Amino acid sequence: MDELTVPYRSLHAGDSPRPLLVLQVTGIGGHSGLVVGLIDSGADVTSLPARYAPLMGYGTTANLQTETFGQVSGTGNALGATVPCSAVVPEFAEVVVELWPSFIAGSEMVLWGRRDVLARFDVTIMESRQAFTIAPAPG
Amino acid sequence: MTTMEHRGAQGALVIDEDLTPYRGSWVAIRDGKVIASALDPVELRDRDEVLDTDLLLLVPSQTTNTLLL
Repeated sequence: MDELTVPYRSLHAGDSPRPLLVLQVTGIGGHSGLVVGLIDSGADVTSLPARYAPLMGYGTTANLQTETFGQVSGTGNALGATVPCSAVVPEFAEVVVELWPSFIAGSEMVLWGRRDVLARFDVTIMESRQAFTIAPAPG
Repeated sequence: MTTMEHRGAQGALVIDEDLTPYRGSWVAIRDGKVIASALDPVELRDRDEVLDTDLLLLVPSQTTNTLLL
């Protein structure tokens, strides 16, 4: 099975290296682009900063609805997609992930969640090596 | 096993420039360099010099050594 080993990255000087993964996301308007996010096994679903919504074609009551989510410090509100978009890890483009993203005001980091992105890939975090491996999940 | 150090889409995250001056704004990255920046992501995406294959990135406004999610 093909498997990638990806080193941790920092987004800018002074930032801690983290397990960041680049996905090719295709929004509901058909625009497609590379998006970098943090692999987050603690996130049930993928979330993005609210500022990504217009980039992905979201922004009306026809494709977003208010939802409540739980977080470390209690609960918060997000805008959840009612229409899915899609994403692929470009190196494994045959695996198309259906995304129902949540958009969170004030967030500045994309979090790839467990029930969508991580459900389609086996990911192993190797903190001691400052790297992770990723491979399509079997089946 | 394939190790992706500087190839493929994951290699797009090898950013040669310090993004500190762009904190809080969006940048388009190609070959490790900032091609363009803007406060609005749609405006950035629609610029002539930005390609669909560029990495569009919201640069975090603060450096965080410890992140709790």
